[in-house]
Amino acid sequence: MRAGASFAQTDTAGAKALQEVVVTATRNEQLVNKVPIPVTIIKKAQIQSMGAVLLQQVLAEQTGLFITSNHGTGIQMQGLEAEYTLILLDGEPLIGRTAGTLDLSRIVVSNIERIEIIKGPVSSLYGSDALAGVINIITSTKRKEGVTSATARLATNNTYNLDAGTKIPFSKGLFSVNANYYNTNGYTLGKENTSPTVSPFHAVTLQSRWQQDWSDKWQSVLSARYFDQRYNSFFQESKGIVDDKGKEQDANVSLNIRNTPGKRFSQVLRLYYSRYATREDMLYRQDQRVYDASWFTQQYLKPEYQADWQLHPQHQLTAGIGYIHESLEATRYDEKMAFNTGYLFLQENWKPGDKWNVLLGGRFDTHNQYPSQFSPKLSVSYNFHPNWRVLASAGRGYRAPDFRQLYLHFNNAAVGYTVAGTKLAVDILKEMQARGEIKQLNIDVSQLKDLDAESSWSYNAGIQGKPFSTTATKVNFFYNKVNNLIDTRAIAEKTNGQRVFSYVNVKSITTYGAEAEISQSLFKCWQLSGGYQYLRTLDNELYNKVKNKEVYTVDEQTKETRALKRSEYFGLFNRSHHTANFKVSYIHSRLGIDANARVVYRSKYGFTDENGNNTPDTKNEFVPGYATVNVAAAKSLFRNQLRLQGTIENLFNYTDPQHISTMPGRLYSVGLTWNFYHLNKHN
Amino acid sequence: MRKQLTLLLSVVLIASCSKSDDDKPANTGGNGRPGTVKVISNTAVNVDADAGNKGTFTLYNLAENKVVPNSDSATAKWDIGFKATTIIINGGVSGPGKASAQVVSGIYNDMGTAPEAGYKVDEAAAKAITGWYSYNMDTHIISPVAGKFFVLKTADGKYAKLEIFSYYKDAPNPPVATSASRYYHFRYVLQPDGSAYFK
Repeated sequence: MRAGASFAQTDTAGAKALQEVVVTATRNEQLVNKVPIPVTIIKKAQIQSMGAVLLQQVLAEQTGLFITSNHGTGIQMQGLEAEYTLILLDGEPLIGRTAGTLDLSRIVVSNIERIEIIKGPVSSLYGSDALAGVINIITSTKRKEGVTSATARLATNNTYNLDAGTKIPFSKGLFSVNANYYNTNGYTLGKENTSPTVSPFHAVTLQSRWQQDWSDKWQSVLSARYFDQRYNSFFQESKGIVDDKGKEQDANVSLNIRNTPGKRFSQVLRLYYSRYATREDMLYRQDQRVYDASWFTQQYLKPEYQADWQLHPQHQLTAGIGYIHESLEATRYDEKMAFNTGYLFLQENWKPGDKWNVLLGGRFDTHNQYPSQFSPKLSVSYNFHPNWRVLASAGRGYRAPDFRQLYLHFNNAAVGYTVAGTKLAVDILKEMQARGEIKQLNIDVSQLKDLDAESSWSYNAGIQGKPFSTTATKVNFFYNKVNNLIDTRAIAEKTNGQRVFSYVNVKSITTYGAEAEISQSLFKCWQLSGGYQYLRTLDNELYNKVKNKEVYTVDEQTKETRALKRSEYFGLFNRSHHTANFKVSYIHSRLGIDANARVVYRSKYGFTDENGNNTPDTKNEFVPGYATVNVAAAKSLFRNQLRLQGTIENLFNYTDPQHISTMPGRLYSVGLTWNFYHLNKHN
Repeated sequence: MRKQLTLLLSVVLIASCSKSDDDKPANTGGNGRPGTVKVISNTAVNVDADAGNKGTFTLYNLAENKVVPNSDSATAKWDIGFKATTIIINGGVSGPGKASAQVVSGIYNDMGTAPEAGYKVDEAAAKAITGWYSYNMDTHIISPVAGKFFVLKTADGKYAKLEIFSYYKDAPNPPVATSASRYYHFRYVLQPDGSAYFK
């Protein structure tokens, strides 16, 4: 939505990559090969050649990213969980996280022009949540090409997707509209008649964008998106079957007004509003009695002003000021909650000569619910050879305590436990004690302090280059230390045998490792690419105990208890030490053929703790490593007006229902796209 | 003389040991040096801890290495009792005996001497033995926490250390969600001479 933000490119060849422009790293347009922060770009053509429909399918194949499943589909980046990655749509944050996860299956990829991924904190520009990194989904395009297209795709599990959109360029602007309908019957792993593993759901996404160039100096962009998803599930309860029906809605509107009075100065005013709402009704199938009903509404309003000023050929200054008003009402919250954040950010981009690029910036956020945060970042790059450069950065990231950690008041009807946000925990405990529901307190109530934000210091260093004209490679080393991690803690035992949970800032974790990527063009039509990430993670307090021989395990051979060796400390749960991907693609534009095969591998990772030492160590606490293979092939006909595509996901039908419920087995799909290129081409 | 008698009793008449009239305070450290009296070291398997869900504790006599009938619950004939994951000891609110206990972290085999302090009796609000197991929400498996074991004074005040190694019938490794539960497997060392030495 950032006006003139993007430079869509449909070619995947490396030649034009030199001109490629990115916006996420600096909040203004920068050449990707000059910006001192590594940015991964996934282009529309790449998304199309995979035959992907949902965002998670695209991200799952990127080096160093894993799909996780915890209250929705999320992404793990540099070994940090889904809540630490900020997801932006045209530069504005998507809202509606459940237990920290922003469900990526809410985002269909059909009208995405490209995706920019930055690893490492960018709180210096975006504030909270941009601790592990930022994923910016860009739908806008500079390309003034009129096209109307429609796609139908049919896949296993009665999954189908209908998509239609049009882009209408006119002399002073561009109008686009897009509609998408997605349906799936989900699937059930294991026995029949049990609850669906993935519930049947259907979703509608509507998007529209109007860009108008009022004059040379003034431009506006108005865009809107609406998403509505309904799902249908059931579960067995002691008194009978309970039907579980839910809906999820997400709407956002953004208006950008840009003024460019001269070549050296531009300013933009952005207004962004977003609303996210869910509703869930659980009714006994037999007599429609209510088992549980809940709803949740979150609203987000953000006015922001940004100015970019080229002070000097070597110095570009970016400054911004903004305000965020967030509110929340829900069954699990006692009353309507409001959060207010005011912020300022400042960034200096210094280019002392052609070879050096220095970016120094910081953002200050002041908040009414937790301490103020200052997030600086310094990034430097140096081109030591025309085709090679080194990059390094150091920065602070943070993640604010969320609503639930502060204000949740939830009594689980089915199991009987209670969760209390820190601002309410003391009062809730007193009420429960008065009702005689508390058997014993686990902590001194005065220990329940206000939560601070989770914050990190992160360091990245790498090298990028082209050893040969057809080969591109990059390597990046990373180190993140996250402090003040917010964790749940059982604060009291209830008389019903369950517990009361609240949140505390307790531990710190460290993640470090390296990733490497290489791509190679072969004989015009072939492209090979591969990526690898090595990752180590530590729960620092637990690791200190391991070093002090205070963490125990039962030896698999001798069956005797002994101290866990340092070398046996595997790290945090759900982190693989090794992950890799490999892709072969064949593109023959004249014949209109486009085919590819992709392999994604992850080594074993900790799944759960059974023996109470809080770390995966015995064999059954791990998920074995695995690889999946996805293939896609497409043929374009009638001068690209018609495109036929077939895909097979998980070709070798790998499943592990005990550990990985999100892995349904082999999936087939066929798709047909019709493109109509309008005659009134401009520019 | 008395030392030799105890030695003789413990070696020859293990069963009678717990009935010994040796009533001296247990924490005196007895007669000092380790190794003078042979310790009782046993492993108990498949101890049914209310597998039938009748709501009763299974009472265990460590010196005799056997289950005691519930009719003896008001006597000092049992030391420790099991009902599902709940463990009681014969002391405090749970029984007329002198038992007290604590859960310690460390390596069972490495403990040569029982700690001097830290023992608790069962109270209505809190049992002396808690937090010995870990319940996994994903797999629903109950596992003893690695490195946790109990040091207790038995109903007649003798020191023992006890480590549970499975909660499932026939101790499958690993247990699965369908494994029959409430079957304790544990090992213990009991020092019959009243001293705190386990070696």
